[in-house]
Amino acid sequence: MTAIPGRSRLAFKGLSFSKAPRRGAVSVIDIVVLALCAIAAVSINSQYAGEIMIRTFLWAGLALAWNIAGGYAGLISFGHAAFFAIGAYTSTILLLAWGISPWLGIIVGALFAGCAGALLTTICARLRGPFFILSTLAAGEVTRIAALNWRSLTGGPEGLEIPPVPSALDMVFKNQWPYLALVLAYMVLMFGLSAWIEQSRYGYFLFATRDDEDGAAAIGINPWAMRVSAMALSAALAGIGGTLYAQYFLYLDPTHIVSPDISFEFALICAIGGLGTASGPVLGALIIVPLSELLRGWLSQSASGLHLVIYGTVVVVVILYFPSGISGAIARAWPQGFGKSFISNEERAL
Amino acid sequence: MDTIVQLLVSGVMLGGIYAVMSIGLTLIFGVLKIVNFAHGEFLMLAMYSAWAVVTFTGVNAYVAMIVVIPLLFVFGVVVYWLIVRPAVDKPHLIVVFATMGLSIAMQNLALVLMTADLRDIPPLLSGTSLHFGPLYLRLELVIGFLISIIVTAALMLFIKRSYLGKAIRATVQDRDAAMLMGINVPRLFLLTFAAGSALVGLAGCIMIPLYSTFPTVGLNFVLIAYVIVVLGGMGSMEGALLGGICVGVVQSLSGYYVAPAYGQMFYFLIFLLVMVFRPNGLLGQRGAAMIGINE
Amino acid sequence: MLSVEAIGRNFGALWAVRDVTFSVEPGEIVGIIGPNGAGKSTLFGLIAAALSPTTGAVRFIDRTISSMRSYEVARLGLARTFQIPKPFKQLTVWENVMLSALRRHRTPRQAAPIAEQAMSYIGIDDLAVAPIAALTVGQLKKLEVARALATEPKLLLLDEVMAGLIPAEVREMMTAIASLPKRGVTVLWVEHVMMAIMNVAHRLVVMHQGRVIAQGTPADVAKDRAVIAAYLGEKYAYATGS
Repeated sequence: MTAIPGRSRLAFKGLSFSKAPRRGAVSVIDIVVLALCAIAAVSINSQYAGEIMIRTFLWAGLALAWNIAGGYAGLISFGHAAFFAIGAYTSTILLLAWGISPWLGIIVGALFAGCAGALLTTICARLRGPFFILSTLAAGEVTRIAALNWRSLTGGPEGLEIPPVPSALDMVFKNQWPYLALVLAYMVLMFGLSAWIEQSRYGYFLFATRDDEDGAAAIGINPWAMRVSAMALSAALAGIGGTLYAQYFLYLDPTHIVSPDISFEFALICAIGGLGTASGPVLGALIIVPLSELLRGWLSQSASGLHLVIYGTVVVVVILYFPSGISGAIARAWPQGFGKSFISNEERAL
Repeated sequence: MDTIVQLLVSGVMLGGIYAVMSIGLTLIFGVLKIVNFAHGEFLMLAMYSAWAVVTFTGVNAYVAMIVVIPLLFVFGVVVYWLIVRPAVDKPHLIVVFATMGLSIAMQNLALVLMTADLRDIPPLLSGTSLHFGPLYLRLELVIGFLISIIVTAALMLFIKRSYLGKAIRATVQDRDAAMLMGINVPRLFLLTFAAGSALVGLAGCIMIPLYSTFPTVGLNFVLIAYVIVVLGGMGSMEGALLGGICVGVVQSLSGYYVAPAYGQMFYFLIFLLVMVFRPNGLLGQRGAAMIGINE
Repeated sequence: MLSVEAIGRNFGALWAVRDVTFSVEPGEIVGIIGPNGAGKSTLFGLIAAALSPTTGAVRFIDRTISSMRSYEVARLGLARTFQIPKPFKQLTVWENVMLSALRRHRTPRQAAPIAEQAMSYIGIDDLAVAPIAALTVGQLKKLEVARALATEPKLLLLDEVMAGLIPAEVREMMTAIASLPKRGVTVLWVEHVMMAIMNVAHRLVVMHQGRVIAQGTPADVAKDRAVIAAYLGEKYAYATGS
């Protein structure tokens, strides 16, 4: 279309095009939060705090990875533990069987996990809503049963152990610092990637596919390609997190790492933090992971499991009363202020 | 040959019990178009309640139904008011995550209150088995199966014949039209959710003589229930029965001929295959899987 | 530009569209009208490649599009609106239009001017940051058109865009559609609001019971006996003596 006569009434409630909240804009809060993470990482001096922090950053990265499929493309997966585990097992098996460095294994693992994600989405191409969710859950279970029973490959229920011999080449370190740096970098990279996707053409196409597939196809977007690519990307990034997990804990326990609980955790972190935003999963992980670790510490003497009772109740309350999560609540508190790039999709629709 | 017959018969019986465990889930899905991700924990609650009644009063598990079914009905009403009702018209994700939070809370509350110990009840008539020619069947399995079949049949008849049943079917087909026809849809939702929950109470009483209960018992069974309702077609009672029997037979055969663990793998693979080739299940509503329902 | 060749589509025993043939030349505004149940919506779906034809074919700039997927057709430069608007509900108006512009432009920065033009052309630029939930039916309809325009189409398919608009909006929309050919956009338009389509369309295709019963300028069609019969019944056609 060539020059259309322009009428300049670019105002809606005092906002103009140029001042409209921009998707993917990194807000002041984001910068502050990430900077605080880095400062906290440098300034800690206890093993326990370090452990909590590593877990928090790793889980934030994994939740961000989940969010690419679940939040941006609307592909809610309760089988992401499978992709996480594929990454972890691939690099570990490569290391144990052929002595291949996890620095290479992490890429191979990501590729395998990405392929698994693409395969799953292709299989479930016609499924939507609860049907898709239940299928991802089933796929996760198939992976778990395979990990438990395919002894020659995965070591069965005993799991796999990486010898704790420090070696930078094998991504095994004597103290926490390198791990802390690795998972912090993972989180920041995932955040940057998410923020980039949000404002990119690709991100817009994902949103379109999520909101209305027919509408997306009508403007020339191939919805199938969007769904498959988003899930593959999300799965591959979760696979990277899997390798980092393996290298830090040096032990893969199939009953734990492929359990649905892990998949639920990724999803719930995003739901609490704010689905479909880059800030949401980070905020969610920064609040939930340390809190549940600390609660576990305090409450385990009196009653084990109590911290999860509290956690479950918090999930219910947050979901029902803040459907767009913590980031949405912040955006509501400062609608015009620096929190505005938090305004999630749900919130805008209200 | 005898072995195969034995396996098939016990598989079918197991399937009947699985069906009654899943029927609440499929009923709730059909009417409210939501998946209750705490369904497994409802079952856990039912099994613990049945266990408690049996252990503290000495009656058998089938008598315990008098207490457990109303208890689960009331529990269903409470959960509906607190969690489902505020979320039922919102995007389906809200219900998914809210019931998932409920599931975590319930599971761990059970862990806190009951510890992780396995709880079971003494066998009926000191563990008598029934003999039909060459067949040996556990008494509890046969009773459970018969109750399941009777209840499922009664429920289907009720849905087909009664006014309330017709209202339910109308709402399953078109919620808005049903509302315009003067059906009190919100109250129907409440009733359906509570009735679905009461059916889980029934299932708990049938299952406690056969299985031990522990805080995460729900997860094992709810995965089976998901497979069954999707296999049969979400929202379809007949489908739940058919799906239950399929899964029961697959489990019983593969448990004997292959390792039990791979039996599980089998029915998850069957599940995925059904999703690929018949996404609406064997007897489900056409197109339901494609639109994903309620956003 | 577009040629519909002996196209037909049945649903079981019922032929919703049967043996329809017509063509659209570049720069034209062609309207498709007909009483309820005439097969307009089915025909629209066939042309937009949302439905596949039982017989015949649709050709768009020398390519057979009836076997293509709807997103492939869109990429060839054939944009459509939906009778029931299908906006991306979780995005703002501005983002909805941007999305269409992004089809041909790599970055949001390049796409922004196109989106702005499309919005101001249709007159929804003042709604830029409004959420979809805040829009009226009329505004949603305008958004549909703006979105379709932002894909910079060669041919625009409009599906009952006037339904639900208030008279002032109808006039605005008429002006906007009438000057589309000057911008290089050809229009094929299914419409129920006669006043609008009679005044704007260059040529009309009249459908009845799945078939084309008349083609020609709005003035000719209005005098056509078969058309009057289809709309008002045989008796009325006889009474007017045409």
